[in-house]
Formats: sequence, C-alpha cells, structure tokens
Amino acid sequence: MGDRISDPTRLLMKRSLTTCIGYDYGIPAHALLAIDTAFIRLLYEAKIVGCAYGYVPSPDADLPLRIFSLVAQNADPARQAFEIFKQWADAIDADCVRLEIVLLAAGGYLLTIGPEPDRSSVRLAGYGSLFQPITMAFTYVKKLDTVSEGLFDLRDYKELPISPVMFTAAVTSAREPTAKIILEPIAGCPELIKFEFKITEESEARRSPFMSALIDGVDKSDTKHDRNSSAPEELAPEQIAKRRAKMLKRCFPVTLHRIHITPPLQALKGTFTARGIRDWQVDQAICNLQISELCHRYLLTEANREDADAPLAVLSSRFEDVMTRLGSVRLIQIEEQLLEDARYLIQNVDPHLEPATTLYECAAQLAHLGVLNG
Amino acid sequence: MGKRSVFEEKIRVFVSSTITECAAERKMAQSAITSLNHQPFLFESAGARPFPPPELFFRKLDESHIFVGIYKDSYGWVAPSATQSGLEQEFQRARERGMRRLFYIARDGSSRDSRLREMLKSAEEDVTFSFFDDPAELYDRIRDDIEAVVAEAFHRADRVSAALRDSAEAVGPAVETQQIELRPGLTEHISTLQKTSPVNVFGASGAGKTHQLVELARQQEGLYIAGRGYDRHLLASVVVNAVRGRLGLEPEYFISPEDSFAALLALWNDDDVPTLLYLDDVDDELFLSKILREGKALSPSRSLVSTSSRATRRQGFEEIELGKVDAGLALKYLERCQAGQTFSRAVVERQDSYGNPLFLRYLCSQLQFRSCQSVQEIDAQILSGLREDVQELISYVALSDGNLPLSEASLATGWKLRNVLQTSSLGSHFLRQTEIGFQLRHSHQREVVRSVLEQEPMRRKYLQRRLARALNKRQSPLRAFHLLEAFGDPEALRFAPAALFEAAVGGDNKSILKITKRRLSAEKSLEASDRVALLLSKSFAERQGGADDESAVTLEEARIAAKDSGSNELIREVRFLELYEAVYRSLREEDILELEAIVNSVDRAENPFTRARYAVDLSALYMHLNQHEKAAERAREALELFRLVEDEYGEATAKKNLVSALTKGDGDPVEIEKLSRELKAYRVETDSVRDRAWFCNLRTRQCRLAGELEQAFAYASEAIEIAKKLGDTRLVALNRINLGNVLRDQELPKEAVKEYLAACKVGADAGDRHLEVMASRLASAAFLDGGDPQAALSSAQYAVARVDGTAAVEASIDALEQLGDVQTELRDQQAAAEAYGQAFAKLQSIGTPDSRLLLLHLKASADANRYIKAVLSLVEEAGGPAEQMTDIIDIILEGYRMLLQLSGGRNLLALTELHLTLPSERMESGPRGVLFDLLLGIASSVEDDLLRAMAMLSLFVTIPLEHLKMRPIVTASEIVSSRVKELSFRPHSDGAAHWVISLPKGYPLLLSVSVLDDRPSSCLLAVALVLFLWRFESELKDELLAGIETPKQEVQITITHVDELPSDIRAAVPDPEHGVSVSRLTKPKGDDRIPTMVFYNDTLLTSFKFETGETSGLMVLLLFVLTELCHQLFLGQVDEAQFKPKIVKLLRRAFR
Repeated sequence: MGDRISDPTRLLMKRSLTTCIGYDYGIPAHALLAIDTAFIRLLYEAKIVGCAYGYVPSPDADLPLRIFSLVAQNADPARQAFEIFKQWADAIDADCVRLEIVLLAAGGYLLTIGPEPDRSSVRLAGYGSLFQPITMAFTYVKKLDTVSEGLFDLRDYKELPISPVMFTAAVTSAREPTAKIILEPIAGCPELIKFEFKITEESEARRSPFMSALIDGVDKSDTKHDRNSSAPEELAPEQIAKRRAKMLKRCFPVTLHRIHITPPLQALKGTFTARGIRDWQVDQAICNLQISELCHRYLLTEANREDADAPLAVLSSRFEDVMTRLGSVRLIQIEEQLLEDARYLIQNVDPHLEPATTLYECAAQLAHLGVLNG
Repeated sequence: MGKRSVFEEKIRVFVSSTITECAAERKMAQSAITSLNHQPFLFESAGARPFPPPELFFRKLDESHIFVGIYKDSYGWVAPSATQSGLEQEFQRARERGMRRLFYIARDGSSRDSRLREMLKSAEEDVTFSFFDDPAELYDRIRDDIEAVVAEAFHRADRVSAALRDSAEAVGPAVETQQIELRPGLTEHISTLQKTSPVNVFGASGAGKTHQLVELARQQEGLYIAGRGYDRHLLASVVVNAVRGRLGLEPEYFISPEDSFAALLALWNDDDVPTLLYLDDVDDELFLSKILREGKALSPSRSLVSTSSRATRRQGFEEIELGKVDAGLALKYLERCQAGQTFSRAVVERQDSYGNPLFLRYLCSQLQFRSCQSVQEIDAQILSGLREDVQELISYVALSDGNLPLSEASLATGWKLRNVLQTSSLGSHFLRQTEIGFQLRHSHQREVVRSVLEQEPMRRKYLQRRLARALNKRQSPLRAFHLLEAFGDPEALRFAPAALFEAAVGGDNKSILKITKRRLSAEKSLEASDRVALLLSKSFAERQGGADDESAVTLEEARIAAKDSGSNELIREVRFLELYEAVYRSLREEDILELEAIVNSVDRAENPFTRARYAVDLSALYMHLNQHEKAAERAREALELFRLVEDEYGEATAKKNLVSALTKGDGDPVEIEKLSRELKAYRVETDSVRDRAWFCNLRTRQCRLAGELEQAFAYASEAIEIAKKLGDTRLVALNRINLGNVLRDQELPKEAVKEYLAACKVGADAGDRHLEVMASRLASAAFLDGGDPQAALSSAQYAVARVDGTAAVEASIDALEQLGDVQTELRDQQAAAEAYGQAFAKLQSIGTPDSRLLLLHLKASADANRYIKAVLSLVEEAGGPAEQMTDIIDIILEGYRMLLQLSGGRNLLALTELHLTLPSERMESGPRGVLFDLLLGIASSVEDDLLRAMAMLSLFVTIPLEHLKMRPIVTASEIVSSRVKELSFRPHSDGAAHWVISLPKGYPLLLSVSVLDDRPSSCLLAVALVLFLWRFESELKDELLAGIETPKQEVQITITHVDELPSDIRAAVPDPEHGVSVSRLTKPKGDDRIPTMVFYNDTLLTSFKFETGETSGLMVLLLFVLTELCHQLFLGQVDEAQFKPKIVKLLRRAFR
C-alpha cells in the first residue's frame, strides 16, 4: 500500500452555483495523509531483539558521531525496512524517520519508530500546503528489557546541540539479547545520519498523550498503534483570527495591497465599520470575490461539486504577483459575499446555530460567538 | 531706527538632552558654549515663559544655529497627548531644519531605551556621533566641535573669496579673450567714461556684455567678479577678499552683511588700494548705489563698471546698452575674422541667428557648427554628445542658480568629482570649475540644459530632487525650496519650515512671502498657532515689500484665525503686530497707548520672556519715533528681563537698542562705552594661520567621513602648505598622513604610500615616535592595498618593533593588528593568530569592551583551537556561561548570541562571516544544516526588526549555500514572513519561493519575487533580496529614487539557476565574470507585464560572501537588481550610469 491523501468531510453550506461561495480562512481545512505501513510489517518480520550502540569515525573533524543499530534476527526484512526509510530521507532528510526511546520506570525501555509528521506532511503534500494535515501513521513499538550503559551514554551524548547518530540495522544469530552478542552488518542496509533522536524517561514521555498511550498499550513484544499527529484543534476565536490573517496574507498579498491603496475601498470599509462590519470581513469578502469565478468553474466538475473547501482548492494553484489585478467589485456583491462568509463562519463555529439571513443579524451572531473581532 | 528682536548677533547653541539624567553633561555643555562666547539654550534655564514647553523649545531651537544633542539611556518623557518625547521632537525638528547637529552619546548603552536607540540609528547616516564616558570629556569636545562648525561656515565664505579672488584670471583664458572686437572702439569708450562716472553695460542675454567686461578688466588690470547667484553678503565678501588677495592678504570672514559691506567700503575708501571693479551680472542696484553713496568719489584708481541684463536705468551711472548685433555689424565682424565672404553672407542671410556674438564666434572657430541655426542649437548638440556623468553634473548646475559648490555637487552626484571636467574637454564648454565648485559659462546655457531636461520630465524631477536634498544637507534649505518650487514639485513643502527660518534670518522678504503663501495654501491642517505665526510672517513681509493692502488683509486673516483658536495669547500677538504696524503707518497716540497697555498687561513675574520681547520691540518703535528716553527705558526693562531668563540673544538685542537710544539721546558716555564693549565681544574674531591649519586638518577628516574626497584632498594639501610655511615639521608629517589617508580613500595606494613614508621619515627626524609608528603602520596598510604584502610586512614589523614596550599601548595594538592582517594576506595563519592574540591581550589589559575586541577575538581564530579559546573568552567576558561549555557548537551558538548583542548591528555581516566561516566550512552538509537552523533560531529571536533582518541576511550570506537543503530555507522564509507584516511568502509544493513585498512608506511600491526552479540556492537568493529590499526601503525610496513617487510602482522579479534554462540559451547568460545577469526592459511602461529575470550560476554562489568586498556575489546581485529596478521605476528616463554610483554607495553603507 502506498501513501494516500484524502480530505475529511467538511461542513457545507447549501448553495447554488449562482450564489456567492461563503468562506472563512480562519476555519482550518484538514487533509488526511495516510502513510504506508509496510515498514511495520517488515520490522516485525525482521524480529528486532535489541539495540546496539557505539562510536564510529566521523567525517567531520569537529563533530563526533555515534551509531545506533537495531539488532535483527532476519536480515532481509530489516534491510527492506531501512530502504523505505532511505526513500523518506531522500525526499526530505533522515529525520523523516522518528526515533524515540522511552526508559520505563519498571525497567527496560520502549523503542518506537515511525514517520515524523511534519516532514512526512511535506513529503506527501509538498511545501506550502493550504490544508492542515491530519497524518494517519503507525508506529513500531518494541519493549526491550535490558538497558545497557551504552544507552545512558547515548542519552548524555544527545544533550549536545548537534549530535548526529548513524541509524542502521545489524543481524545476529542469537535468539535472545545477551550481554555479549555477535553482530554482523547487513549487506546493503542503508545508514541514515539522524540529528533528531529522543531518549526520555517514562515520566517525561507520559506528558505526551500519544506516548502515554503507546506505553500503556504495550502488552506484547511487538505492537503497532494508530497515530494521529494533528487532531483538529479547538476553534478558539483568537486562533481563528490569527489563522485567517495568516492565510489572507499568504494567498492574497497583492489583493490586500491593492485594497489598501485604493481610496474608494478604504472609504467603503469606513461605511461598513459604521454599520458594525469589521475591516477584516470586507478584506476577506473582496478576496473571495476575486476567486469567485474560479471557484464556480471548479465546482462545475461533478467530482468537486461537494467540496466545501473549493476556495482552497482553487488557491492551491493560484499565486498572486504584481500582475494580479483587482477585479471590479460592486457594493451589492460585497454585501452578498459578506453575508455568505459570515454564515459560513457561524455554522463552522457552532454547527447547532442557524445562521441569520441578513448581514447585520449575522454580525450580531458573530459577536455573540466571540469571533467578530479579527 | 532701532533693531527689532528679529535681528541676531550671537551664535546660539541649543542643547538637547534629558534634564535630570544628563544634569552633569548639560552643565559641561553650558560651560563649553559660554566659554566660546556663544549663547547656550538649555531648557531648565529658560525660566517661566508664556509658552507651553514644546512651543518654547521649538521657538528656541528655531532661533538657534547649532544643535547639540547629549544622549544617555532615557528616551525622555512622553506627554499624554503626544507620541514622541520632547527629546525626540527636538531631535526631529533639528533634522527638519537642517541644522548643524553635534551628537554626544554615552558609550555605555547597555540600558539604553530602545526608542532612543532607534532614534539615534535614524541619524547615523547624516551625523557623526561622538561617544563619551565621563561628562568631563564633553567640555573640550563640544568646544572643539562647535569651533569647527563655526569655522566651517566662515571657511566657506573664505573659499568663495579665494576662488573669486582669482576669477578674473580664471575667466580670461577660459572665455578666450576676444582679440577682434565685435564693436570696435567700445572698450576705449567705456575706459574713458569710467574715470568720471560709474558705468553700467546692459542688454539682453547674448549681447556680449560679459565678454566686454572681461576684456576691460584684462586691459586695465582691474578685478573682474562674476556676481551671478551671489547675495549681497557674499558679493561684498567676495569683492573684499578679491582685493585682499591682490594685496597678498589673508582672507577675512564676515558674520553679517553689515560687516562685509563695511569692509568693502573701507577698502574702497583706502586711497592706497586700487579698486577698479568690474562686476558682471549684478542686478542689485541698491548694493552698487550704496557703495557710491557711502564711499569716496571715483578716481583713476577707484572705478566701478557693472553689467546687467535688466533694461532699467541705473541712477548716476553712465549707461551703455548693447543692442542686438545687426547684419552689418555681424558681417563686418565675420569679415575681420576672415570667415570667408560666402559663409559670412550665408550667416547674415539667416536673419534670426546672427544676433548673438557668442554664436558668431562659434561659427568662426568651429567648422562643424556652421550648419547650426543658433547658439542654443550648438549647445544642445554638444550637450547630447557628452558623457552621462558630465551631463548629470551640468544638469545640477543648470537646475541650481548657475553656481554649484563642490560639496553640493558631490552630494548630489554621489561621485568623486575630481577631474570630471579634465576628463571631458567638452564638459568645460558648459562648466567652469572654480575652487568652490562649478559655474555655467554662459547664462543662456541654463535654459538650454533645462529645455533638454524638460523633454524627459522624470529625469529632470529625479535630478532636481537629488539636488534639493544635497542643498538642504548643506544648510541651504531655502535654495532647495526655491529649486523645487520653481518646478511645482510638492516636495518643496518638506523644506519649507527650514527655508522660512533661513529666509527670516536673512531678512529675505520675497522668500518669506513665497514660503508662507505656499504653506498656507498647501497645509490645510495647520495648528492654529502655526497658522497665525505664518500669517503674521506673511503680513510683515508684505508690509516690508510695500504691499500694504495685502498685508492688511493677511493681518485680518491672522486676527480671525487667532480669534477662532480662542487663544488669548494668539489674539494678543496679532493685536500687538496690528498696533505696531499701525503706529508706523499712522503714528496715532492711541495706538501707542494701547501698545503700552498690552505690554503692561503681561505680568513680568509670570511671563518675563514675552514682556521682554514686547519691551524690546517697543524700544525700537520709540527710537523710530525719536523718543529716545522712552526707548531707553523700554530697552533697559527688556535687558533686565532677558538677563533674568538668561536669554543672551535677547540681552544683546536689548543692549543694542539701549546703546542706540543712549547715543541718540543724552546717555551717559561711560555706560555707552561699557555696553559697546560688551557688544563687541559678540563679534567673531578672524582665525590665525595656525588655526586655519588645524581647521583644515579637522575638515579633512570630516570630509573623508562624508565621502567628499575632493574637498578632503584640498584641505589636506592646504594644511601641508600652511605647516610648511610655519616651518612646523610635525604638523607637516601629521598632514601628510592625512593626505595619505585621503589618497587611500581615493584608491590610490601607491601615492598614499609615498605620503606615509615621507611622514614616517619626518616623524623619525623630529623624534616623534608615535607619529613614526602611525605612519609606518598606515604605509603597511597602503602597501597591502597596492598588492605588495612583503613591503607591507616590513612596514608593519617596523611599526611593531618601534612601539613595543612603550607606553603607547593603543598604537601597539594597532600595529599588531596590522601585522596580523598582513600575515593573513601572506597566508601565515599561525603568525597572524599570534599577532592578533597579542593585540587582543593588550586590548584586554586596557579594558576596551567594544566591537573591536570582538573582531580581534575572531581574527585570532586562525585555527580551531585558537578560535574556541577566543570565542570562549568572549563569552566569558560578556558574562556568559563559558565554564559550562565544552562543545564547540555550544561555543559557536553562544558566541553568535554575544555577537548580535555586542555589535548592535555594526559590521554585522563582517562579524558573522568571521565567526561562522571557520566552523561552517569544516562541517558536512548535514550538521551544517542543523547549525544553520540553530543560528537562524537565534537570529529570528532578535527583538529589533531591522537588526533581525540584518542578522538573517548575514546568516544567509555566511553559511555556504551550495549544499543547503530546501527545508531550512523554506523554514527561514516562513520565519521572515511571519515576523514582517510587509512580506508575504508562499512556497510552491516543490519549495520554490514566491514572495510579495509591499513597501508602503511614503508611497506604495509592490514587488514580487518568484523562483522558477526548485533549488535551495535560488530560494536563498530570493529571501536575501527580499530582506534587503524591505530592510532598506527608506534608503531605496529616499536616496536612490530621490523621494520621487515613481511613474511605475510595481515590478516582478524572477530568479533561476542557469542550468534550468534550455541549453541553447544557457551559454548566453549569465555574465561569466560575476555569475549573474539581470534582464533589461528597453522601454519599460507603467503597466507592462514583463518580468525582470535574474539568472545566476555557481560562480555567484562561491563568491557570495561579503569578505570578498565589492566583488561579493551578494553585492553584485543587489547592484544589478537595484539598477534594473530603478531603471524600470523611472520608465527608463534616468540614465543607468547615474544610478550605479549611488547604488554602490548605498550598498557600501548598508553593509558597513
């Protein structure tokens, strides 16, 4: 199975293709990123029985280098797992692979390996995505009973600001970890130079709900857990406002500039302000009107008809530059757009509240919800 | 008539600082200023005044000549209704007025308020800061600096005089003396007339007046003075010094027009001094008639011939009108010139064109002009063939009033002006280069140049704005105002307040009228007090100009405005002026009584200043009315009150009125004598020759700092000559070093070496080791500049050896640092590190915690171990946790924090490079990326926006680009964008950067920068470019674009690595030397959609670091892009060649 990207269901206003498409950039639009889990199966098949630590000569005169090696019983699946990691590393860097060790209070330690969500998001969706990713990933978890001095030494080493670690795998014929174990390198197994590598105490690790769940879920030697890297956050008014400002600046820098230097539009804002409408609402409405036609065209396609985030889909390939002109906007259009944008925001902040049908009633509702101030 | 308080006598110095915090410093400043017999104004000594503080300090500031700012930590108190503290308001006001400003800043700025820091930073480019540790240091420094400023003002007059003293000689050969007279017998005729009568030759432009006058002056060995563009004061000074020059006397300086005229009269009346004056183009009839009226009668050795373009007759003058040259005259002339009969007839047949003698001479002397129809056509033809830089210079002179001092010309062009004309023989067709600057040779050329400029209005606007700024910087806001106003440029308003002040001080009523009218019509939201003040000024100027009706109307407006404001003080001010003028006009007793009542209504205890002001005015009025007793009484009252409020200027005015009243009345002769003696002390004495040398020395340094190398050269040379005349070898050596420094600045290292070595020898002969060591060290540096490191080594070693073990620790440090630099050049890192290390140890021993220490720390890091030690000791010194650091990365990071903190932005690029080059070059790309992230984290956490931008820019330049990955660049760009409102960043999915920059200051500029490939290096170039454009928005708009709202305001830039281009065009770009090319729009339009494309290759990346100087890839990239940007914004109407030197200057300063 390869990586997949899909969009979650969104709250969608009822509308026809002739009406304005209300949208508010303060409401995050999520994209679900599902990461290939084959590495879990391969690590399982590799039968990891322990970890090995050591020094290796560094190509960099001023920097040390340590090695952290998984000790597997089966070489081929271990190599294949590292080949997948190598692919991730080549796309961004070796820290695409998230590696964390938790020193358990009851003794032993937990080895966790999985994709690092931020880098994975870039790897799958590219840079600058307008969507907020929800990464569906799995983490390989292995509880190991013996903690050696080497692990503590590695932990001390990781205190340094730059402490590269070579991450790879080796093979052993031993069935169980012992004090002295003979390791053989796995031919062709990639070596990743990682800079991010956490070794934490259980008490510290438990501060993260995710890690806490992993620790509690350890009931057998190999486990795998769903990982939700970025669950939808609470829609706090300040966050909505901040996100909206950021998105508008990102997607409509030229439009905003032109609004700012066009005196009639500034005057228009003044008249709206007198009627209780905020400047950010007018800015956003004019921005939305700029892409209105593109959105309608996008929604004409059957597959896109129900896409509540049509503006973002359109904006993904629309970059403003000095050639972007401000399309003509009429007062009536702005008023209509303001209403639709407000209704969209109300429904997404409080799905149980029926949005009003006039702009000024909507403004009152927004004020009541605490999201009127940008 | 007595003097109203508007007249001034003493140099006034305004001292600005926080009061309590700087109490000791203010006392010192006050003593220093008083000791020079100048008048200090300090707010705490102002006493009770009728004005709220801002009004008082503005009034006093506006009346002052020099501004002294003393700053420590506090920004000062901000009134609830204000956005700026009084301290900043004073600072800004002084800047707006274009005052001469002297800043003294406490060296320890660790607790300095960020607003104060910001304020000072804004003046960095205009003013030189002087740092102090102890208030006691200020006494001498303030004295020296003020003396220098005052001396400079006089020196300027001196230079004018010195130049024009020789002008008769200068004009003669340049104009080519006409051997063949156009009007035979005229010279002889005038010679006869002038023996018994003053003569004025008048006629339209081109009639041949100048030529006639030069010929007369030459034949009779008289003094020819080109008077065009000089005011009465300057003209009198020039004439006096021209005569003195003939007599072999030193120049004399005059503080007021009265003084210069008195000196002129004294010379005129001296029977032993021949004064045959030939004053060309002098329209000031009053000036000339005053000489004749107040001076002795004409004689064979005392005569006056003038020329004027005005047709008005001059009373008492023999008038000779030079009419248009008619066909007969022209034909005869051409025949006498042996121009050939056919040609001569052809010329005469062109009836419109032969009437200009200059034209006739051109036709006779230059064959290629024989098809031209007019002298204007010839000039336009010559002008278009000139080099762009010469054209630019000529344009500035034409835009000015025909005379442009060197310093203004240098500021406006931004070039080294030395030899501009020597390298362009045709340039001298238009310009005469005198010691003070440039003059147009013929008045008609001004119109020729202007009409050429009118064909490209944008270019004309650009040049006029640059010139106006240069004039303003050189303390001539009035000229700046008139220049812009003549073209209807709204920027004129910017200079209006300072121009009004200048006009008021000079009693220039026409200008006062013009400025007040302009301000009143353009500035609709004036504060009531400003409006009333402007209206009163306007009314007064109108009255002075004889426009009584208009004056009355204006006064009525002022009355209404004052009434509307509801301010009793304003109403009283208007009424006072109304009555004052009414008395002059109608002499009604009741008006005088009311005036008396107004004055008496002002409480002496509550408002002593206002009462004193009114009293002094009343004393003047009474003198006008010949009521000397009353005049004396009011003058005494004013004197007492001005003394009470410690207003020395007011005191002096009151004393003058009192002396006049007592003299005209029955005053006590003892008292009159005493007061006169006191007043005499206000006069500024002329400098001695030695002082002059000292002054030249000082000015050399000041000019070097300002980049005015031509002037610096002249001052240094003059100082050497003076020192030689004085027989002071030490002074000679010192000034040869100065001259060497100028030559080094002029990039003439070999010539500089000669001066340094000569100074070294003189120093050794004179037994002055310090001088010897300094000269030797500088010779080493110049040898290095000239590419002779072995000679540099010898000189540096000699300097080190000569100073070693002496008490001159600082000289020893300098010598060791120089030795280290030489050994670095010779690639002997070990020896270099040793020298730097020794220098560092010595610097530490004398406890100098400045950025030089930081530099030495880093310079000492020639190898990794030394580097670590250097940074560790740096961290330790700055109070950092050095003892806990064992890891080199920790040291680098902590060192970087210290660097940002200690440098405060100065030399940041150079320091960052020094700090990071060694570790980053030794790292593999992986760790380097992580290091970059960590450093970026530190840089992006800097609070100050501008420092943060520079820190980031420095990092991008320092970390080797070619191996960086995309993710850190995208992250860096996101950080930049998130911290700066005006910048929007959005990467494409492959990371390719897309930026939009909205630059809103003044007027909006919109730029977009897109990267067309997915290379991290392209994205990094984009972010560096964007950061620069944002960080230097003000400089871009104010300096490069001369504050003009450009016709084009949007530009799109794309960046691509050349390897991403199709193979068939890859070879054409980029420029192989620099590794970068920028596409050129040949005919940019305001709304075109053609992007500006930047292509680069790896050559650019490998030279990106700043340490390579002006060949740095960063500098080249910015130079190319900015040139194209300016070209496009002005729609290609301003020559590219004119931008480049200005851009280079900006870049140098930006990265200093």
